[in-house]
Amino acid sequence: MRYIRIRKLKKEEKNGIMVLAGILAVSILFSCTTATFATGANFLRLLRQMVIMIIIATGMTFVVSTGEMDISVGAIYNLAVNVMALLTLHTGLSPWLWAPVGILIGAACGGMNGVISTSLGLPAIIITLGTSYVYRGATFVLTGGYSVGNLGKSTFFDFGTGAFLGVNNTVYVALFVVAVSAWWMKRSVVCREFLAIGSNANASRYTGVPVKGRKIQNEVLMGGFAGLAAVLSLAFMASATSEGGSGYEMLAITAVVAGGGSTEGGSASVWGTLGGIALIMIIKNGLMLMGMSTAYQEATEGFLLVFAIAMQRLMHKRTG
Amino acid sequence: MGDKILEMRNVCKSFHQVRAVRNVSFSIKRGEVHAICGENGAGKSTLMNLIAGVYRYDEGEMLIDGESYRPKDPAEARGRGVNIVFQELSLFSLQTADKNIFAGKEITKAGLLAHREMKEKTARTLQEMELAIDGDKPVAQLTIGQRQWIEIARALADEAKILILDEPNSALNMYETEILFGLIEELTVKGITIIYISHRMDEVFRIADRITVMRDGSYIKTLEVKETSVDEIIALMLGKETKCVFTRSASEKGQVVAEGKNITVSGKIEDISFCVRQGEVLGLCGLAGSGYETLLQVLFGLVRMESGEIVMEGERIENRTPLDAMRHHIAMVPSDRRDTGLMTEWSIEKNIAQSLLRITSRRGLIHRKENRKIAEEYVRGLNVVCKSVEDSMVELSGGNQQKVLLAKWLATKPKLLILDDPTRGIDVGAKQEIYQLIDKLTRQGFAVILTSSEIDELTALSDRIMLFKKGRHIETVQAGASKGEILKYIAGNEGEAQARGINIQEEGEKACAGGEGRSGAGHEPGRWGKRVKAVFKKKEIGVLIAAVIVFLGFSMMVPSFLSGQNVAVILKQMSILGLLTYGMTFVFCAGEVDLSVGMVLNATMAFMALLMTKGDMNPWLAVAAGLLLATVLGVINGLLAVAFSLSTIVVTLGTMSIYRGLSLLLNGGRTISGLPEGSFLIMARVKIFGISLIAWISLAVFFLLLFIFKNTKFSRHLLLMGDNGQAAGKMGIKTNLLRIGVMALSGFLSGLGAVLTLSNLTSADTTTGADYAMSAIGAAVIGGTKMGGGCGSMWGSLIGIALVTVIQNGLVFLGMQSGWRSLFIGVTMIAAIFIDTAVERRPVKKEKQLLNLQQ
Repeated sequence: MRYIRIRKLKKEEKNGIMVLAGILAVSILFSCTTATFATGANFLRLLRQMVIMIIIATGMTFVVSTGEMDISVGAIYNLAVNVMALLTLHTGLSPWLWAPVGILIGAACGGMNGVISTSLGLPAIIITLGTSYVYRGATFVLTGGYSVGNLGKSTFFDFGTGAFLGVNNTVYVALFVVAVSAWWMKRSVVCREFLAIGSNANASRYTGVPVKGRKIQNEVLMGGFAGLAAVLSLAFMASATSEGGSGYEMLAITAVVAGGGSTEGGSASVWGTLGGIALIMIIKNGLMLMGMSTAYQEATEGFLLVFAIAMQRLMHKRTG
Repeated sequence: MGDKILEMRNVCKSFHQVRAVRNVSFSIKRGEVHAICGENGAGKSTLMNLIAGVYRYDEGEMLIDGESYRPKDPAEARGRGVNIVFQELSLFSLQTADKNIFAGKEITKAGLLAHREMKEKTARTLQEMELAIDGDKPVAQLTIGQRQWIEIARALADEAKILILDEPNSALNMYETEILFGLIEELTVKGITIIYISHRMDEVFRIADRITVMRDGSYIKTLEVKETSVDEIIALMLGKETKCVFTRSASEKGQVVAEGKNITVSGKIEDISFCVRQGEVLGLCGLAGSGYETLLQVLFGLVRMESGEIVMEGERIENRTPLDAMRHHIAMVPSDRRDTGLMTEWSIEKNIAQSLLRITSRRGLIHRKENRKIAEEYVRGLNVVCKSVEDSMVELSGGNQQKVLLAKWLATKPKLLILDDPTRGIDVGAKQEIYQLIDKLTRQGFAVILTSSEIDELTALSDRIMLFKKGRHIETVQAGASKGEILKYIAGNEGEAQARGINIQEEGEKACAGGEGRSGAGHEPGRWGKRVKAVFKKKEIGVLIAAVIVFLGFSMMVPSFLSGQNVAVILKQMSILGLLTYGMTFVFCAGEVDLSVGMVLNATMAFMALLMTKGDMNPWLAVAAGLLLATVLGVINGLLAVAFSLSTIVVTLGTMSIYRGLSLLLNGGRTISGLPEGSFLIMARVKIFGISLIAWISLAVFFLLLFIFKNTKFSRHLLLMGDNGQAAGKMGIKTNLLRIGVMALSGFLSGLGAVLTLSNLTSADTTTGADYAMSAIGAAVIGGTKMGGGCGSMWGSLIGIALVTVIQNGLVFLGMQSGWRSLFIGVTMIAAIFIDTAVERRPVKKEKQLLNLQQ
């Protein structure tokens, strides 16, 4: 009886347990090696640092579920942050007004990715490689390469820096987004069709899925998430830099893969991605506390990406 | 004659408990044409694949010239003189005829490709075949028939002893078939033995010396052509007992459900009309490619018809997409479970729910309880053996998978059910269940359109069978027609002379971006004219002109742009970026991408600088160590990609970050300066003819690489691999080694770039190289090298990098910051890909029009 129970464990659950075990292991490791890791202050800071990545990685979960990858998210995110900051600075209007604009910019950039890649029939990863430079360049052109600050006072920034029960407000937003996304991922027809495309694009076409349309919607969604991340980022930082967002795409992809999303499409889990992000951010935070230079942090990020994907391939080979 | 060239003794082959070939023993005589006949699934193709080394046989033995023969791959088979022309073409579509013919066995002289010899040999072979094939065109631009010839020529160029032709003329027209037969005769005179597989009896009887009949994977009999007849062969093929013992119970024929009127899809089917009633099974039958498959696709909205109409229950409908078809209560069970039928990793429930999504969902949300209920109901109803509906598809047997596929579509409650070969690859018991199911469905009043690869099945299950041949509906036979009768209709030879080009099945074949337009013009320009034209057709010229215009434009707008100092800056920048671009060109040709080049460059710089300052190493030794490091980093990229079968773009995305970390680790986040004076570091300041030594070195490397690109097996194989990796494997090209090799080359060139940069800057900073990868990728793409592989141009890359550097430099002069630069690179890269794709798509359309005209 018990045996059957263990066997019944789904792939997703197995992955979740592994990620949780990973989080536990690194947490214990860092608690032992550094004095500051296991403190309340660090925990709260960690939570706040995770917000942006959580949102972007959640968006990436949808992209990976269709078997694609988007490496322009960091650039889209940063473009949105800077545009919103510039608009606030130059118009003097409330940033609340510009927040939807930021999300729209993200969605529009994503839509462009989607339209180009579906009309050319090329994988999104190649197209987004090109567009990431377009978006990053656009950011530089708009800002002139300078940081945008001095945005004045607004309830928008108060919200971003404020806390409820000691936890930064943006964290609640992020968790809310994750919860809604997870529910939507499981329940909605649209997401089921995303997964169907990722699992077997041909067969999904044969069951009436509008493959191209869904792929574009998917990219728009991703862009929208990047825009939302930008809004939260601006709310907390009240400033923007032209170099922000670099490397975010890599972290997001790593998190999705670590959380059980298959790079070949067809499976992805929002909660898993959350676990993946937590794991990565804890490792980054721990390395920083241990006084490791940025060199190690950079290298670790790259290593984690290759490692996560390679592990998945190996596991897949064994079971399938 | 008389001696045996190939002998088979008790050869067996099984695939997952299905015995495809059982105890086959017979022999083939030297110099004969030996035809193999049998129905679909009789084991002919499997046997041929065993002989050609695609599969290895499990038991028994084969002898060639009395020596034991058990090839482990097609390359070994070719080495022993056995060549096969596959049913599905395995050509490199972007390459010209000679590159295809000599793929994997290029003629070399002193290690270099002997272009002229190969071209001449190709021309001679094609001439011998009396074919007018343009040897300079990529094969994708040839007709299917011509491609088939290239495939045959490839097999012949090997000095084959045995040539296997697996339905070689299914894509040839009458005229070409005649040439093929002539060729076969010639070959036999030369002593080449031919094994010939065809469904067309008349041809078999015309060219074969002996015929071997196979049935159900077993050897039946070998007969001399002179002593047998078509009827005897068909009788042997069918066997005495029929395989399909099933009689349908009578069903009430109701009103007409679906009706098709004069449906035409040019090049596929012509003027097809049909109707199906409630409770009726309409069978469709024909040889592969005869058009009935297209009719199914039209009905289900997968292919648009050009004229004609479909009427469902008296109402005219239009199926633009499968979704439309589903709305009109049409369901199609596709023939290929793995490719188009099921999500094999998913559970039964999810698979069944997939077609129900839009039916049961409310407000865009999946109604899981209802789906589960329906799934369980159908799983029970169809007797699917499983623990629960949560089992994943891979755990099920083929028969049960098929039942789930049926359930998935029955659950949509269709009125018209299309079953495309519903019993393919499942065992006898499951087949019987499916027959009973079809019987039950018709009694319930479903209208069914059925196809099958087994004619028995069709005759047993259908009320009427429509027979297709070459895109036309040639005959309708009633229930109870015999198999022999049907075979005579669909495989017989009447009406042979019609419709050329009907068999064109492949679409969207990609042509090389080279822009070699179709030179179909009637007049012959002089040799010079031709050459000039050829030069102007090249895409590189377009890029060159663009570069010149940009250069002139900047010189006019900005006076200081042309100053000696600035030109020197441009040249240096171009020299360094150029090295990376050349490497990227090789990488692209192989179908890979290397994002890590800039970081490899930066890390190598830091490494060399560190060795020279802290390590006090001789600068030249440091250079050697640096180049080694860069190559190793490249090899790591390749190894990771090969070991985990990942795409290099993902791998290098990760390693890019790792190498940046490495670089930061080496320089500690600071610029390393204070390098020793002299040695290679003065290169940047040595001028020859007023131009820095750096530029000369880069140019020399360019020419060396150009030479390698054109003249070595390595780069030829890279191109072939990038074009069609699978076919490259079949031709015995070691793809894994090549992937690692090309990444190593890219790493090495980045290292060389690092040496030049270091000499230019005399210090190793932390930021150089950050956007080099993108510049290199952009330049290569602009220069006409395809991302995705198979075609590239070194000259194009040279001009491309010139254009990119000039623009980047000019933008600085115009007062635009680095933002414009990356904007520009991104936009040009995407634009270049756009143009590439547009050029690719054009010739295909033309070809289609051409075909229409011919009809």
